Amino acid sequence: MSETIVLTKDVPAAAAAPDDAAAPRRRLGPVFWVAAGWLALIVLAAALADLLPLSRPGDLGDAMPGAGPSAGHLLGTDDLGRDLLSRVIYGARVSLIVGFASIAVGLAVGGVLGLLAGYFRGWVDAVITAAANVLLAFPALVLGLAVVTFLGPSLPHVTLAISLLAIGPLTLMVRGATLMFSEREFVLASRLVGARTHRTVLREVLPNVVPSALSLGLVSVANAMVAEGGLSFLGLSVRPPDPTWGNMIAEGSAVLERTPAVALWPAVAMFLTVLSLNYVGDRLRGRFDVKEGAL
Amino acid sequence: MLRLALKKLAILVPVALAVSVLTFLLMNLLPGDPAYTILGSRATPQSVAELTARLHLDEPVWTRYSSWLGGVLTGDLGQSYLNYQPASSLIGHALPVTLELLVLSQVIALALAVPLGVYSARHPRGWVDRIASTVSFGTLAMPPYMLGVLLVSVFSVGLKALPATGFTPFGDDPGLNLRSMVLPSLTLALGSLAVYVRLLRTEMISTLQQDFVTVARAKGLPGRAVLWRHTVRPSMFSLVTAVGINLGSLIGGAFVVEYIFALPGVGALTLNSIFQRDYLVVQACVLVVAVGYVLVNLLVDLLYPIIDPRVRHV
Repeated sequence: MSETIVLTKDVPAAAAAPDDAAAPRRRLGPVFWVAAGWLALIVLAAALADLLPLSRPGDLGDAMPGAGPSAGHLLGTDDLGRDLLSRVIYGARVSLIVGFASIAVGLAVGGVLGLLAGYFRGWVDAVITAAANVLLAFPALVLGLAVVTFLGPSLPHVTLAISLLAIGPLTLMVRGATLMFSEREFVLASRLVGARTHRTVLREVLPNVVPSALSLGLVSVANAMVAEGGLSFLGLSVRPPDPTWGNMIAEGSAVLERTPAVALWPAVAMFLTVLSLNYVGDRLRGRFDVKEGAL
Repeated sequence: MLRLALKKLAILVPVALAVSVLTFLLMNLLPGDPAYTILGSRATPQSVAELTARLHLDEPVWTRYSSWLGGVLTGDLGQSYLNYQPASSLIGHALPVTLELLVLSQVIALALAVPLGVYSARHPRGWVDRIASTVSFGTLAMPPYMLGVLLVSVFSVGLKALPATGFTPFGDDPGLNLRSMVLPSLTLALGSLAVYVRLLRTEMISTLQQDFVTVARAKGLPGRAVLWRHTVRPSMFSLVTAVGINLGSLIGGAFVVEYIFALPGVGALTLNSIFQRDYLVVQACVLVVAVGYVLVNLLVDLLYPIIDPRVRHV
C-alpha cells in the first residue's frame, strides 16, 4: 500500500513535464488502450471461465505432467498434469475478486471517513486522521498476515484483511481532496444559499472527489492483488488445490528446475495485470487531476 | 531540534499505545475459546486450564491488557507454547538477520538509485532516463515473491552461481554470509530501486528550476558543486521520506524473502509460528515489527532538519 503514496507524489510532476504542458487534455494514447484491453480480456476470461472450452483447474486428465504447450493445453501442464491455462484463468478469479472487492470496501469506508474528516475538520478530523495513521503504523503485509492468521485463511477473511490495509491511505487521500474542494467558491456558494450540509457534501464536494478517488482506486486494486498474491504465496489465502496466482508461483518455485512454466505463467499474468492497472490508473489520474487542468 | 524531537516523541506514545491495543486484540479474534484454539490437538483439560490461568482468560479484557502491557514494558513478550522459550529471546536471535537483510538491500538500492536518478534528471528523456523509467514501471509490477523466484531461477537454477537457500551467520564466516545474502538483498533492493529512481528524478528536475540553483550557477560555482551541494542535497529530502514510507512494503517484502531463501529472520520466525499456531510468538513478533516501524519513521522525521534546514523552525 505504501507505494501508492509515493506514486501520488510522482504523478503531478510527470504530468507537468515540459512537452506535455501545451496539450491541456492529453490523449490517452495507444498503450492505454492495450492495457485496458488486457484488463478487459482477463476480467472476461475469469468471469466466463466455466463456459470456456477448458478442463477444470483440478483435473489431472490424461495429459503428460510437465508437458510443453500443445493444441489441447495452450500453456502446457504442471507437474501433476493439470492444464496451466485453466489454472491461470481460475486463479485470476481470486485475484480479481479480492482486488476489486477489498478496494470497493476500502473506498466506501475510506471515502465516508475522508469526507467527514475533510469537511468538518476539528476533532472529527483529528480522530479519523489519528486512526488512519495507526492503521498505517503496521507494515501492510504484517497486518494482513496477522488478521488472516487469527481469523483463518478464506476468501472473505483475506478480502477483509486487505480492505483494512486499503482504508488508511484511501481515507487520507479523500480527506486531502475534500479539504481542497471545501475551500472552493462553489462549496461556499452552496453553503451561503443555505443548502443543508449533506446536500453540500454529496452534491458539491463528492462529485469532485470521485474521479481522483477512482483512479487512485485502480492503482490500489493493483496493490491489493499484489498483497493477495503475497498471502497466497505464503499459503495464507485460498488454499491449494484451488489455484491462485500466488499459490501457483509458490508451487512452481519448488519445481523450477523441471517445469519452470508452472511459476512462469501465473507470474506473467500477474505482472501484466498489475502493470496495466498501474498504467491505466496513472493515466486517468493525470487526466482527472483538476489541479493540473485548472492552473 | 530538541523541541522537535520531544514533539515527535509525544506523538509516538499514543500511536505505540494504539498499536499495542490492536496487537493485543488480535488474540481475541480467535474463534471460540482461545485456549482451545491455541492448543489445537494438544488440548487436554489440564493444558487448557493451565493456559487459561497463564493468559488470565477468566479476567476482564482491560485487566488482561494492562498486565500484558506491563509484561511487554519489562521485556516479557510471552512464551512459545512449543518449546517454552521466551518470545523475546527468539526475536533477539532472529532480528540481526532481518536487519542485515534490510540494511544491505537499502545500501544496494540507494547505491544504484542515486547515480541513476541524478543522471536521468540531468539528461531528461535521454536513453538512460527512458530505460530507467520503463524498467522502474515494470519492477513496480513485480512483487518480491515474483522477483525472488525469478532471481533464483536465473542465478541458482540456471547459472548455478549463487545459493538459493541456506544461511551462515556473519560471525561464523563473513564471506559465506554475504554470499548467502546476495540474492535476498537484491530481491528487496530491486523493488525499492524503482521507487527511489523515479522519485529522485522528479525531485531533482524541480529543484534544478529553483532560484537558488540559478543563483549558485550565476555566482560562478563549478557545475559539480551546484549539482551535489545545491541540487542533490535538497532533493534527498523526499528520498529520505520515501525510504521511510517504503519501509512498510520493505518489511512485508523481507518476510516473503526470508521465506523464499530460508533465512532465519523475524519474518521466518513469524511465519513458522503462524504455521505451528504458536500465537503468542506471532503476537510478540507483530508488536515488535510494528513498534520498530513506528520508531524508524520517527528517526526519518528527525533526519529531515539535518538534510533540509528549511524545516528546522516549523
